[in-house]
Amino acid sequence: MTSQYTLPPDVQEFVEEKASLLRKKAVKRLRFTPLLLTVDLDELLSRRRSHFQRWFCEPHDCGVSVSFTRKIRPTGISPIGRIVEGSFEILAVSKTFCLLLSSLDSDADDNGPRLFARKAYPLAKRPFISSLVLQHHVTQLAANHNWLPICVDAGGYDKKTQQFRRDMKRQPIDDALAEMSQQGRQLHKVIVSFRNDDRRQIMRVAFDRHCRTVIQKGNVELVLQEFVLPSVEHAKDEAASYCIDRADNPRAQEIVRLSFRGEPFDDIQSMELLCSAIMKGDGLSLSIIHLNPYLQSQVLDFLTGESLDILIMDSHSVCLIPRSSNAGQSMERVAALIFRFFGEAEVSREPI
Amino acid sequence: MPIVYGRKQQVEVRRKELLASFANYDLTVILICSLEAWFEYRWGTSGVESRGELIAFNRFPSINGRTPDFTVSFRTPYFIVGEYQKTFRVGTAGRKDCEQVLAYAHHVEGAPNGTKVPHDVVVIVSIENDDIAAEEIANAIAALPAEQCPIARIIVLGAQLDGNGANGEWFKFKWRKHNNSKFHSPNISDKIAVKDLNELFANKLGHNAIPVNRPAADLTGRVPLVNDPPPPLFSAVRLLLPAINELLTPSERDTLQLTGRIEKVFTRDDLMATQKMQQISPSPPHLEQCIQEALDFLVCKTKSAKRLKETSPAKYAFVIDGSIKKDPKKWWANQAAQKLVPKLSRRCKVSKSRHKQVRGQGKLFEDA
Repeated sequence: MTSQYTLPPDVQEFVEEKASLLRKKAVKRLRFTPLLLTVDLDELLSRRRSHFQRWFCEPHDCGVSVSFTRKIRPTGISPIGRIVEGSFEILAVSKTFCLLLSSLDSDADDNGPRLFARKAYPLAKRPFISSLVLQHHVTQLAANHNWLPICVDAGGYDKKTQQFRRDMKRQPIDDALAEMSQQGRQLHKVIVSFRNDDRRQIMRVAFDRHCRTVIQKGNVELVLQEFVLPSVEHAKDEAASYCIDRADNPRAQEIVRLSFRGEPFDDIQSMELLCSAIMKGDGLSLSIIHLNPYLQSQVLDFLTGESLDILIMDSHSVCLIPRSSNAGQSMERVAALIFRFFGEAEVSREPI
Repeated sequence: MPIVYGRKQQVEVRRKELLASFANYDLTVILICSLEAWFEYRWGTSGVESRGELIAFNRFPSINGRTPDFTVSFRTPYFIVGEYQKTFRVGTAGRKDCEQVLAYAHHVEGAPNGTKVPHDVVVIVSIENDDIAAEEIANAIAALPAEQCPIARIIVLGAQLDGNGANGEWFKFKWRKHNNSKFHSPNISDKIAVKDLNELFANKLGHNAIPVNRPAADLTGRVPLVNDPPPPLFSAVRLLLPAINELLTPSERDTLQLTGRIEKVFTRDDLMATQKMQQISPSPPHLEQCIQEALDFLVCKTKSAKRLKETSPAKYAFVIDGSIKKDPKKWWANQAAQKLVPKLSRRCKVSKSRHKQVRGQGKLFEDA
């Protein structure tokens, strides 16, 4: 089954070159991190270069080649600090979408391209999909080629402690998801081994809810066309629900409503848990204005200058009300933090 | 024994006082906004009970130099002056409260055509306090000399926020018969079919419940003030911080993300010119004063702001760092409580060396 999503030809050619290195085992893995841009790529590169000690960009046909050096602060393990260096590619797929491609090890990748993607907000944002969409795309990919997807390593955030918990039991992905939801977690990151009828491993890929993939073995173009690109499109479509402005007439105000399953907000502790999930965001300030019996809190985003209010007036939904014009990006970010650390919900746009 | 631990308890008491005054003011704001949303929903331009009866709900009225909490005017014609007092004081302490209420009752509201608009004074108190309030007011009216009567009716309603209902939060209003008056008739509308305030509050057994719903909470976010001046912690969190957030430039935001800390310099006029301040409509007359009090609070009681010397107009330097980015209300309440309780002088603290001596002597006596 051919996918409707394709990369531009020069990007495809570049990716194919890297894929052949993976096949020859010249590199151990290929990591793809998608980013949705809100400004030009050049502006993003120039404004975020100061996060690195040394940052060297070399433009080419389909994007930019970056080599970086980052100094890590002294810690217990390395009292004089340490240096991390490496290089990665930024592939410009379109004017508003770029892919970061690297084959670095986990430490260098965390301090290089992943750090760049995290700190890119608000000039660029990482797309976010729910765990059900993640499961759907992975099972669709397997079904298209008659493979069996086996979950090798699945992890999600525990709701109460908001810590990451991993489970390395080999099981089908549906079972892994069901087990997690019973334990109050949602799937965040999963390593899947795709096996054919002879139980031979055809592909081994890691996926996560920010549409990142790490391909250790398999067809790179297939993963991009049948997972990364459809997931990013899905995230872009969902983002339209958050584009609500502050209306001058209070009766004409629209809000974003996140509807949860069950009744998660039946006591004060769960409302405070939601607030602590949002406080994990970089640059967000949350003040609880009213706690008992309903929650009203004011959230300020110091990185964009926008503000919004969070209301919990019944036991199963959270309302986000914009307090400044153009608060859509901040509302999307707050919703992604809630989904990641607290729990997933359906998004809808309603009149007040 | 040294009394150093007493200070910790005192700081905790002060901290709770600051947070309680914040919560009380917020409760007042949500009550007024719920009433506004309720009046608008039932009798506003797209009212479900009767359209167009409501002319205006004024959040910041001024009557003869005094500031009631709200006034409502209807097309009938009819006018309400509303005052919310959580606890109506008794005896000599309550005289000022009574004087204020009587002054509203003596006020004469004129219509454009020169006639007098009938009006009522509604006093909303906490539900444990409404019979005391009604008695105090009745005594005050009885004590008036004959030429100052008759005056407008004064209706006392007891209010309580009830959050235990299965279908959301409600303000329950109770009208008690003893020492109380009913609303003027006609009030909201001269149409007989429309339920008026007497039917909704006075003639009803039990409570009349007004919902605290999304439109009401939205109004509290748009105009987070009532006619009474707010505690400085409230203005600092609700007004000052969003305005400062707006003032940061893109390069300052980049620095904040890189280093996690930034110092922003601004004047009071910069704050008043922000969109956040301009969007507060209707604008309360005491807005600038609230901002100034909040700035003084942050400069004197917390470490987040400094007033720069020899600047005119006065410039302030505000620090945004990890503590502000998490929960500014709790952070500032903690700091202000520490500042409000004076530190003990050195004489009161027992020195460590004396402790050692005592232990040593104790050991000597043990051996003996």
